[in-house]
Amino acid sequence: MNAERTARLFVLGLLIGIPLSILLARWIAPGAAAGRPVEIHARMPEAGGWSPADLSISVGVPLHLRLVSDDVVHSFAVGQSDQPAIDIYPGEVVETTLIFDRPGKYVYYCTRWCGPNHWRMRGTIEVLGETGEPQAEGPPLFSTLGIDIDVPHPADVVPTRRPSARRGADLGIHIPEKYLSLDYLRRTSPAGAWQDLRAEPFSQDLNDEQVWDLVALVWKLNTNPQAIQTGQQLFAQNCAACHRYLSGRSG
Amino acid sequence: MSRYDLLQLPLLKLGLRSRWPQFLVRAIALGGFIFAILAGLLGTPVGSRNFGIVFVWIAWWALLMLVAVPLFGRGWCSICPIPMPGEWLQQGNVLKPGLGGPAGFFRRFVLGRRWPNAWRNIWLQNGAFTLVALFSTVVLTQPRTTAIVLAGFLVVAIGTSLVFERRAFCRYLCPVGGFIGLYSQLAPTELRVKDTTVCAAHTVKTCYTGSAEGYGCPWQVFPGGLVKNTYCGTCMECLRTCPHDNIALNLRSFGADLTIPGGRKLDEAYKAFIMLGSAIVYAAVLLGPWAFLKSAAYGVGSWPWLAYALAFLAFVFGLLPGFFFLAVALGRRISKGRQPLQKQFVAYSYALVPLGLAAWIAFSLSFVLTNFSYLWPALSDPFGWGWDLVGTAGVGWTPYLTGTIPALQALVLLGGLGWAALTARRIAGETLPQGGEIRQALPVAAYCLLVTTALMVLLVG
Repeated sequence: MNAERTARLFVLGLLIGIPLSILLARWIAPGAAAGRPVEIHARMPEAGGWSPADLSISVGVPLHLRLVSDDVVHSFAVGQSDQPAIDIYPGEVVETTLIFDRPGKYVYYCTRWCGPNHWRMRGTIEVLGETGEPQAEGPPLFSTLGIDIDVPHPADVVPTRRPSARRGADLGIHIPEKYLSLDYLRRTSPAGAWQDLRAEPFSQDLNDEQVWDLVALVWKLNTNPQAIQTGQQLFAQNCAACHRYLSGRSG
Repeated sequence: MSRYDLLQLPLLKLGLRSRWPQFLVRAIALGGFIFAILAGLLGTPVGSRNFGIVFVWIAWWALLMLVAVPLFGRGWCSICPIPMPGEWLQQGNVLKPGLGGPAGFFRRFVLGRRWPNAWRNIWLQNGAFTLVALFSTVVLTQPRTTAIVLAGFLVVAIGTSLVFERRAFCRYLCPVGGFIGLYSQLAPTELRVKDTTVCAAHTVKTCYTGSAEGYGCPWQVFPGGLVKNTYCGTCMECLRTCPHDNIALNLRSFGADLTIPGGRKLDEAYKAFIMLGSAIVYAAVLLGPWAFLKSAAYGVGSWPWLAYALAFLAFVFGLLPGFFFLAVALGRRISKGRQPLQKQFVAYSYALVPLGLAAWIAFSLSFVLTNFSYLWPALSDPFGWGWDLVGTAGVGWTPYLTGTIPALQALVLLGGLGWAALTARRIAGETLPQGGEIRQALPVAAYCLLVTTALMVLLVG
């Protein structure tokens, strides 16, 4: 073989061999043998959020996931699951395997402040199972209650001091039953409750801060120490990274 | 001025005369180039984890601006892979000289035209560099855009090789080659002929026409007439084709070309302004604290970007040369010089060549040393697909020598300023007697001081 031909083959080998070997390497990527993992790309919601956003798997079947962030730091967490959130750093691949033991629709979401629309960053995993198996909890409450959480809920009056349930109780006002149902609490934001309470005849002589104290009282009456403790744990786990967690329990 | 011919080293001469070492380096570089394009297109969009961005804009750029250009001038051009595929089609051969051109099917596509006389300058290179510079914040950070730009270089180079003779792309179009040529005047190496009378007597001029040993100068340069590095691509073809062993690869003093009065041109003068201006703008946009400037530069197609682009053009093509023109005019007035003002403007702009290179070295030092550690994960996982080929995928970002960067930058910038001032004085001395040349060069030196101060503020703080 003469030199020119050898050189041509060398260049052709590079020009064809490099792309071919890359494609082959991609094709036989790790995990292919054990069932190809699903690659989920995380981008800021403005750029597409989770992709793919909707997954499905059968009960008891391992769901292998490769999580990749294409822009900033995200975190992957699944609702109704004990698994801690997984941080996903830009350009790095994180793998995880999920196994669901109950059918249902699970929401997965980002727990890192990734942008102004961070809280919109959600996806779903539909877990299919035999009829008769106990179902996982249904879709998220905001969904079943028909609450559009994407709509802004500005407060008419923002309290200048932290509302206090104790001060609210000291006002000696009997809170009507309709405010003491779990359903009301779930459907109504604190700002909405403030509007409702402001319109009540018994609050006509109260100032705006005192009405906020009544809002705090309503929330307090609808809970118990155990629920507060659970809430604190959930807040620390899922919310504190963005919404700050202080010893004074503000968030 | 003393020179030492490196080709007196037999091993080096053998290595440079042989086609194989250069071919292998270029072919491997071509492989790397294709790999970088594919990484940009198929890999992660996260720039710091993509081979395309990390190897092109950190590793290659560091090699080019901190080593290759200052020491070897157009050394990079001699191993650049971009013209290789086009030349293969143009010549019919990839290694040995194919004097007959391509055979068979490809012959009909090779037109072999002469480059138009009107464009036998570097204005197109100036335009090409400016065009890339306007989009550079996006090009430098988005792998896909980098890949498209690199692929564009390759496509244009192939197209140019098919239509025009020799390496017209490298000589007249390549935006990188344009500034490498300008700054290669500073390098301590040069390719020249040993004896011009030998060339004059050699009627065949195989260095330009080619022979069985090598191609006629791909850069369209007659080595016998070489006095500056600017347009010599150091491809070593003349070393192979010269039957009289009349080619020398000299070690010389830094910046020897700047002392040669002839061959100064307006297109090269503007290249100096474009490069200096771009370094200042990049320093402000990429390293400065002004978020609005970054947003505008990144927002390609938006109104703020349009304003940024217009400001960039006004700064590079208007403000910088405008004030320089005033400085030259002032120097001419106070020294009672009689040279035409335009000629002086062009001549003095060569004083900006060392200052420009110093600015680019100082600018490159800041991000190259800071971001060099991105190389290790990119080596192991070039596409960001979760590979760990050499076990370095998990290496974290570690800025190197951050404590010494400002001192190095200041040193380089001050060195550039001193060199620029000396060059200005030397240029003045070409036409003025002793004493007068200092008065004439003073405003230009003051201009350089102003620019250096701005760079100091932006880069060193």
